[in-house]
Amino acid sequence: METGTIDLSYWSLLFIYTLLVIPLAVFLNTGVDLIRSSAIAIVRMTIQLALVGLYLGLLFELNSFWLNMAWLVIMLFVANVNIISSAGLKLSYFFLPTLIGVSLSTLIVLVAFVFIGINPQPLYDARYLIPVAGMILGNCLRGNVMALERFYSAIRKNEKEFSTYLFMGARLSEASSPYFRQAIKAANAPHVATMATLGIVSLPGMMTGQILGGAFPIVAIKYQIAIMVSIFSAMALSSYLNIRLSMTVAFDDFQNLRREVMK
Amino acid sequence: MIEFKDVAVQERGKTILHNVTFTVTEREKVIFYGKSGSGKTTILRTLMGGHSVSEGEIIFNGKKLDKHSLFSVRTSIAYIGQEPVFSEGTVKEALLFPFNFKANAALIPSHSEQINILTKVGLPQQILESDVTGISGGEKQRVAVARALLLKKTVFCIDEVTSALDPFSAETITALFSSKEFTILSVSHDPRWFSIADRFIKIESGTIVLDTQNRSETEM
Repeated sequence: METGTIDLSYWSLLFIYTLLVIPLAVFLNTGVDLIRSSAIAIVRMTIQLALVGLYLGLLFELNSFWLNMAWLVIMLFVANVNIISSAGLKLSYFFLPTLIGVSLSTLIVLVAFVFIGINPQPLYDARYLIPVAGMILGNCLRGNVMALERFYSAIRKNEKEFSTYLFMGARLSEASSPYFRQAIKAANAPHVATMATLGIVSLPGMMTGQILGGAFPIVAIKYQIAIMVSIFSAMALSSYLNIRLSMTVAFDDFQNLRREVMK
Repeated sequence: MIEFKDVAVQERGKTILHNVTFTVTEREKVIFYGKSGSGKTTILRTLMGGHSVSEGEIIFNGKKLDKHSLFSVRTSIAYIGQEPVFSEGTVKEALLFPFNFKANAALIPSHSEQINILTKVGLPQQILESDVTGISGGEKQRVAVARALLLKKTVFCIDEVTSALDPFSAETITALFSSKEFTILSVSHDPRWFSIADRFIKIESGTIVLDTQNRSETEM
């Protein structure tokens, strides 16, 4: 079996960019107002990935414990800020509770996967730690935005029902439990569906990447299973923790949702 | 038993109640009346902790309403809102819903208690298996009353409970709450409901403008 990836030359990459005429034609033809935002997104993606490529190259080369940890902290902070703002919540109220939720769930799974599962030498090896953390966080981010947004919008939408439960003697956790269940389900169901069809409907990016990188398919599959289980566990734990911890700041002393915490 | 001392409530920067002061003694039945939007419902909801008090204080059974006493208020008073709120399911599930909460778990009514209470509010026992979203507004209101009565409280906050009822049902429900044992704070414009009250408090623009035991004064 051939090892190593066939490099994609810059000319080839430029050629791939020409495929963008297809979405451009679709949007022009249908009058869909997505051309400007698509152009911005493509430029942003290119610049961001180019910078990350340079940075990761440096990170892998230095492979310093402190540098890796610093990068991990930055990833957690950025993910946390994104989760809060995309969920329509105010950063000043939720920053700490959701940071604890995201960090705790990511770190628990990361330790299990990288430190115990892969057990690289050194344990903090950037080649494993950073990409795995990125995959877990990226997926947690989507799931947690969904969880928080669904939970708080459901309480706002069903305010009368929610206060009726409280007036009937429900504790905050009991009165919010229908919305809590809906939010946890909404956050986790897409990943459950993805796992159920993996390998048939879609070939996941990580596995494809490893195979293109020269890994044996069986090695790539083992990694893929491990990452799917890790993402699932981190997502379930972080969506649970984030809603629970965010509730400590989202409700007033009388258990009413504080309006000022919403954007 | 219940005391409002110079209570003010603000919401989104707007004052919706101000200088509200009254005392309700045990077994007293008080009606808050006045134009819609005047703050009557807000008074009931504030007692239940649905609004935070921005000025003044509320005393319930000698204790100030705060985060520590809130739970005791909510488990001592049965609240019936103007628009009954039910989750999806049958009437039986709606009746039993509050008993899913730990605070009420010990009070789960037996089947015969459920039928008995339905009879009292004028509903047939067959309605237990009906979809609660499919029954009429008047039936929903009576299910809400039945549910509140099953909680076996003696203090009630009741908001326009007879507004969606036909005259006969309104009479039946009014009679149920005429019990001497009950302490009631209510919002109503129904003359039948006025007949069981001991006291009438008129609310205008978020404050009390009349507090009387003389019903004839309410007609001025």
